[in-house]
Amino acid sequence: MNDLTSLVDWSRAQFALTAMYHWLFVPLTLGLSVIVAIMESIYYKTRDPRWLATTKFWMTIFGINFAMGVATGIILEFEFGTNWSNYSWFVGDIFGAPLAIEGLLAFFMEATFIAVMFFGWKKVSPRFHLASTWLTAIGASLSALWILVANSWMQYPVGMEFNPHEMRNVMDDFWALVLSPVATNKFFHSVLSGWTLAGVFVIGVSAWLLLKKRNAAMAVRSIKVAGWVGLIGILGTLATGDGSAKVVSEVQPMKLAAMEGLYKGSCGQSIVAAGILNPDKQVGDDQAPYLFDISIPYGLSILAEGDPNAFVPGVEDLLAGISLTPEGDTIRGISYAERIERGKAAHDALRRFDIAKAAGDESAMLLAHADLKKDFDYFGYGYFDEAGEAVPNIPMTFYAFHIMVILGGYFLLFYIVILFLAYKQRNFLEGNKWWQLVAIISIPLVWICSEAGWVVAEVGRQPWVIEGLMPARAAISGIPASSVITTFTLFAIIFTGLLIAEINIMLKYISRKSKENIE
Amino acid sequence: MIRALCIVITTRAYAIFQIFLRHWQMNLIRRIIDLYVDGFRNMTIGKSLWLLILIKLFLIFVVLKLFFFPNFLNTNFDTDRERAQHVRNELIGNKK
Repeated sequence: MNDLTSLVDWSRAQFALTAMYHWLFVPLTLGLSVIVAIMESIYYKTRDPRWLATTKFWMTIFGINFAMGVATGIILEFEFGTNWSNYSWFVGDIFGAPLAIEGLLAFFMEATFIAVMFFGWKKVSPRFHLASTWLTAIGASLSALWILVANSWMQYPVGMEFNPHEMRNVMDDFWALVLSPVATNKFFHSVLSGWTLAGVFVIGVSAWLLLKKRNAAMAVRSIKVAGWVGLIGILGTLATGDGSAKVVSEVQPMKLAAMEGLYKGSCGQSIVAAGILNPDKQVGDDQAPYLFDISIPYGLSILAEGDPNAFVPGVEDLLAGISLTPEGDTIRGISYAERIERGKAAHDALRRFDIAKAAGDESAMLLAHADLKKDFDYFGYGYFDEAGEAVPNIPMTFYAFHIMVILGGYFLLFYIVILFLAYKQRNFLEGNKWWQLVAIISIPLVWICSEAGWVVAEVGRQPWVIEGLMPARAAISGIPASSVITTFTLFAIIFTGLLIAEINIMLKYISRKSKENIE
Repeated sequence: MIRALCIVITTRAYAIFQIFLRHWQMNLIRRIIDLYVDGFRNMTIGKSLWLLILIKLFLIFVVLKLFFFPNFLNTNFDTDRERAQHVRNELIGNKK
């Protein structure tokens, strides 16, 4: 195997493993903190000790999950410095600034208010305690905001200018970064998906309590709160998912084409609701893209453009730089072959800049800098020899996207049914084993759905670490692949062991506590 | 005389305010310390969690960071100029 390919693949695998491990805990923290805060608000208003017991039960589970996830994200920052040093230098302060804000917020807000949440029941006033619980929830979401802003910049680099002297990008518009359409959609999509996930988790655990006939009243109370939070979460996730699709169609059309397995686009493009890709299909051949598909007419045009007759480009259209008007007229845009040429021209301009700088030739430097600016948007394409290198892994993106969407639809139905049962069919809710089993099985499904979302976001944007500017193979450090394999294996073993220990603590707590009368 | 009296009263009032402020600050600090000390002392499941957190932090910051995740540019180059030059060679030196 080619050494560079092996190094890039192992580094990507390591980053994916670490990020997916971290994301096991983050969405539950985001959602469960809100559910706990609502439960405590009800207690504060009613002073009903049953709500206090319910709040404390879920707050402890929140604490266990928080402890499980603490510092797992820091490994990602280590990996930037070790495996992705070219990238780390190239992004300059753009990536560092949001991450520094996140670190400070996470430390001061969460560390302070979580302590009050857990230790302060008899030490501070009920009002102050409630405020601390809400501030913990808000702090967790604000921490997520800065991470997601940093990630969004990689998907849609804005608010910066490349400095050829320092060989790095310099932020020139902080608010362009924070308020970019990718960042705002991603923030709400991710946080609200956390509410969805936490809602399913609380309902699943409550269903287990009902199945075991333990603390039934508390379980039903929990289901009602989690049901509403989850319903708002899934509706918000669907709405922001729609917004994300429109943004992706504008700024990452190749990702949208991969999500749909769309090789050749058309006006009034249908969307594949479910399907199986043809595994032999290659870009540019005449084979059918799907072995089987159920499509909704005009669906993708509406999703991407809000217009049933709009043209949605496929992978081959994008490579050729072709789009169509609703009347069927061809519009020629910039093809990937031209992008590669312009990327190489940008590289050449940067080389000329260096030579001029070394020679102290100011006018040649200015000329080279102007040429670099002209083509800098295509800088990353200069690393490719052929257009096909810029196509992401279509099957993985397609299946991850469809798993996410199908499960998202399932969870919308799940919440509607659960809330109906909780308010109108309580006997069925407490007595029927089948729905209880469905609710318990839904717990792993919601994690699969959530992780699949990140697979779409991250695999779909390959080969880029920074869209259009830097592919993964240029971002990598010159380290041996064997050292990455070692750290990958080490991380996998250590953190799998820790995960097992931590899940064990959580399950033991739920089992032990459920045997007590906590109503 | 009235002026002198005003100065005396203001000075005394300020001194009393300082005593109250110091007392309030000490009280607040003491309450914060109590919150943490009592909280840690009365933990049940938290003790196992803290043990796991400490193991995890040790593994992350001592084992992984020190031995397996050195910062590539900081380890191999002394100045920002050298780091920039290295990245420049990597990105446009046709090595990729």
